[in-house]
Order: sequence, then C-alpha cells, then structure tokens
Amino acid sequence: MIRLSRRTLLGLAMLAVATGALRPVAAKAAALPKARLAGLEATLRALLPKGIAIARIGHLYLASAKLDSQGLTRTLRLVQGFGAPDTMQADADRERIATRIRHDFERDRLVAVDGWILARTEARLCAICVLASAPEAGAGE
Amino acid sequence: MISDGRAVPEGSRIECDLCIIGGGAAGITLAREFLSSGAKVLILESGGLEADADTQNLYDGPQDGIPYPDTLYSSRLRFLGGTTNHWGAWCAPWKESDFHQRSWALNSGWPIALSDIEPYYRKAFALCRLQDDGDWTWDGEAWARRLGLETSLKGSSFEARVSQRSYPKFETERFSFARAYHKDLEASRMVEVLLHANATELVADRGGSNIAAVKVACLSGNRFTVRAGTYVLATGGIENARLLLASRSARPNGIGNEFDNVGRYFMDHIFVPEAARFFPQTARPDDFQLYLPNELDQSVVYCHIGTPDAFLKKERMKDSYIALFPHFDPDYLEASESEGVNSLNETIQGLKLGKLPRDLADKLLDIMTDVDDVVVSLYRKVAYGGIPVLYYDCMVRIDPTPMRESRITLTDEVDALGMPRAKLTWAVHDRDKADIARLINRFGREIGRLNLGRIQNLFDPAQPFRDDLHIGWHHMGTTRMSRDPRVGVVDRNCRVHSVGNLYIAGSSVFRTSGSGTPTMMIVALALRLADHLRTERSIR
Repeated sequence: MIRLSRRTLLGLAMLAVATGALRPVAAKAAALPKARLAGLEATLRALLPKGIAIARIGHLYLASAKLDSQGLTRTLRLVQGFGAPDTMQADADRERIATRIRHDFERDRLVAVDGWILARTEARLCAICVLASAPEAGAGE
Repeated sequence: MISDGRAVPEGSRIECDLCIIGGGAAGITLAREFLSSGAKVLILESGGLEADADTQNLYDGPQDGIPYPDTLYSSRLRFLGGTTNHWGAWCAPWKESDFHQRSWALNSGWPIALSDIEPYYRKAFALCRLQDDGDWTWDGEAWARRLGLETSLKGSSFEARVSQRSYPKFETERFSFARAYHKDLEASRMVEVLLHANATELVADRGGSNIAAVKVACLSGNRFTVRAGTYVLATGGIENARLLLASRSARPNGIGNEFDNVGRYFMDHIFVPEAARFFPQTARPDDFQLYLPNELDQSVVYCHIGTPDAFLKKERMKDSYIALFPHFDPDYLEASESEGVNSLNETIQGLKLGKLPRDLADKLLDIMTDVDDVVVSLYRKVAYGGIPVLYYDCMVRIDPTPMRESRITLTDEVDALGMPRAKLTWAVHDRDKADIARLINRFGREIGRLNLGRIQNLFDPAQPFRDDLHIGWHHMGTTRMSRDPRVGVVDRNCRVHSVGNLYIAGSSVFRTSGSGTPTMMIVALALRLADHLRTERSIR
C-alpha cells in the first residue's frame, strides 16, 4: 500500500491536472454547483463502506499514470444531472450510480487504487469530488 | 502392548510380519487395522509418550532456498502421536478435482481418483472424531441453515467450504492420535509399540529388490535390528525422505531413488495473512459469522471462502481459499469491555435467571459512573446486533505448485545417532504468488458485484513474501505417488516402485496438496493401505 501524506497527494493530483490533460474536465468539475457536489459525496459515502477515504482515492486516481480525461468527462456528465441530496431525485441518482458501479464489477471494469479494488466509475467519481473541491486547479481554463 | 526400545538387548533381532516405522496419524491408523489380526505388527516410535528435547533434536537440520517460516526442529513433533500432538485439528475432505490433471497446473494429477479414497472416508471421519451426519456434513449452505446464518456469498463465484475441528466441543483436551488410541495399542496382543526406537537405516537384500531389515538405535546407546515381511515408512514428509536417502549401504543414492525423486517436490500449504482487507458494506457481525468458527451440538465448524471447480477452470488457478478474521470497531470494543457494561450484563443475566445480584448497589453504581460506555454498548446491540466489524483481515491459503527444486537432501553433519541430518531447500513457484494476487482481485470483484463491501489488496506478487508468512506445518510430496517410476517414488498402492516389500504412509506420497486438509487424507490413505496389505501381502 502506498503511504503518502495528504499534502503530497494533493500536490501530485494537481500536478496531473496542471500538466494539461485533465484541465478541461477539472474546470467543468469546479463549476459544479455546491449542492450537486454534496449530492455526489453523499452518494459515494452511502455506496462505499466505512474505511474508504473518498478524497484519498480521488487524489491517487488523478495522480496515477493513466490520465483518464475522457472517462472522467463521461462520468462528470452523469453527475451534472444530479439533484441536491435532500431532493426527491437523490434516491434515483444513487440508484443510477449504484447500477453503473455494479455493471463495472460485472464486466470487469475495475481499477486498483491504493490497493482498493474499485469499479472504474466509483474511482472516477472520487476523482471528480477532488477536482470539484479544488476550484483553483481549473482556474487557468 | 507398549514397550520401551531401550530395554531391547544390544545386537538382538526382532521378527514380525509388519514393521511400521513411525507412530503418528498414519502409523497408528494403520496399526489399529491389525489390532485383532493374527499378524505380529511392530511400530517403531522414536519418541516416548511425551516430548523430550534430545529426541526432538534428531529433527534439527539446516535450511536454504526461500525462507521457510519455521525450523525443521519445531515444525513437527517426535513422540507417540507425532505431529497430531500439536496440530490445529481442523479437518476437511478432498474433492474429486484435486486428483485431476489440470493442464494449467504444473505437476498436477494423481494416479488414483477420489473414488479410490471415498470408501475410507467414513472411517476416517470417525477416527478423526468428526461429526458425520450424511451428505450435508461438508455442505456450507446446509451448515448455514442449521446455524441460522446467512451464506452472504450466495450467487458469487465462491463457495462456503466447511472444516470441522477434530475434537468435539465437550472435549477440553486437544485431540491427538496417541491420546485417542493409546488404550487400543496398549491392550493389543498383536500390535506392539516400541518407544524410543529410531530406525536409522533400511537394509536392502542382496538383489536390492526387498528390504531385509531395519537398523534401530536408541539414544541410550543400544542398537538392534528388526526383520519383517513388510515394512511401512510412516515418519512424516521430511523423515520418510531422509531415511530413504540415508539407507545407502546397498544403493549409494538411497532406497527408491533410482530416478533422483526422493526428497523432491517438497510442499507445504502457504498461508498469507493480511493478504487483503475486506471492508463490509454493513458492520453487522452476523453477516459473515458463517465464515468464523461456530459451534453446534457437539461440533465446531469453520467455513472458508473456497474456490469451486468452475472458478478454477475459468481462472486457470489451483485450489485456494480465503479465511476471514474480524477487526471490530475499536470504539465499540473498548466500551464493551468497561466495568459498567460488565455490571449491566451481569445484572441482566441475573434477572433472566430470576435473581438479583448480591452486590446490586455496586453494580448500579458501576453502570451510572460508566454511563457513556453503557449507552454506546446498548446502541451497538440495537444497531448492529453485536460489536460492529470495521473490516476483516483476509488470509489466503494456496495449494503450492509441486517443484523439483523444492527438496529434502542430506547434510554431512550427523545427529546423535550418527544419521545424516535433513536439509530443506524450499522453493515456491512465481505462479503461486500471481495466483494469490489473482484470487484477491477476483474476490474483490465478487464482493463489489454483490455490493457486500470492498476489498483492499495488501499483497504484492512482485515482492518477496513478508515475514508474517505462515505455513501449515504440512510437509508433503517428498516421496510422491506416480504411475511411472521415473517421475515418482511410490505406486498407486503406496509401494516404493523399486522395492517389493516397502510401502510409504503419510503426506510424503501426496502429488498435490489438495483442497482439504492433509490429516484426513493421511488417515484415509492409511486405511486403504491396510486393505491392500491384507489382500496383497496376506497380513491378516
């Protein structure tokens, strides 16, 4: 298991963003309304077991060698349709994400991040949370 | 009867029909089959009725290759009952596919099938003191129903694989073959156990095709010989090879070693603790209770997450399983051990029995002064049904690849009896490490697909094994069974290919380590060998 400080993780993730490939998607993520971001975080917390640090997964996914800008963009589109966590739509949002994650597991679309064996979608969603929480990363766009 | 080899006069010769060398699970099982026969059977046992350091020291020997996680001195026991004197006592039968040749598994396949062993299973279950109530006995789902527990992994690629502990719940003392069958051996007129009697060499006859005698030595100094019509070597996976290799007076390379196979293919089950962590979706301890030790009636059962045949075929893997070890949420665990919570539990227990505790005032005071832990504990009970589980450590057991390079050889150094010491060179195939990683990945996929939680892999196949690697103390494979004498040491009846009257009992004849436990198979094979000796060697 990789042991990196939070500061190092953030640095690595932001370096990946700053080097270019992820800048467009970072900008779009940063533009997510706060309610949508809160909705996404709530969904991830509900879907992932206690013990998985969403931010850490997101940082490491972004810092990994395979910069997945197209995949992140596609997943971001899914999030852009999210409602706020306290709306009627929240359950439907969660179900949609859960289905997509299940399909990933069924079809072997898995990624390994910090040892975690995750559905590609959930790793991307963690990364989007990180990008959306760090608006300065996309500020140059 | 049980006698002391140290009392046998120097230079004397003992005659018998069957000489069994070694009084462990295999030797005792075999001897029991002749308790009331007309044949004179002698067990040569190196140790006494208890462990002693000088005898145990005869086992000592060097090691090289990849670091084996235990010593030759301490990974087995040299007194009556053998290694069953300190075994874990978990038993599980083997399955049919364990005997098959798998195109993707190097050196797999046996010259016998499960159908050759199955007729002896029932008796083996009884000898190992296992509950045997029919087909459901080894069915994980049946146990789940009986225990009222979830199988949780239903619908996954994995199976709940049952192990049963050899000593029933009501027995407080650990089960060993010596303790269990001491009286049978002592009372027999036809079977004699000679304690403190070490076989130091098998002496072949002039033609070299039969064993003419066994040289025996005691640490007290006396030496004598035993002559028998038939000999069975049952001293364990290391010593069987050692004695064959050390028997060089007629054959310079040792008995049965015409093709340099004696001592090779040494295997032990590999256990990787904390290979992964399983974080469950819900913290309720009951959800995976089936995969922890459970008691029912007189039995203790333990299910592991096993790999069924379809999975092995699809993934091109050898057998393996995952054992779970819960790590409880420390916040709740601490609360559950507080004085207030203990007082509350004792008060509730008392009320259930219709009486108040004598020190009720003290207990109430404990509860009041510890009210925060009491609240946490009550919440835990209501919300989770017990102490919530934070994660499960996943220990992976893998069926090792039999490798020629993994072997027992002899050293120039000799033990107190003048016998060359055994040396272990342990090798593990890279593929085995890759299989561990693959198993974790597949487990992670299934756990995610069923939305049961997520897996964090902690095992890196590119790295050497960590220091916490376990082995099963299951020494196997050094006199492996084969149809062709060029690739093994014993035939399908456990007879040494090149010797007419020498047989081997025990896990050294295993070709692969199988999905079950070794002792069950050792016992079943010994029972089968007894049948063979009755019919083919006329020992009745």
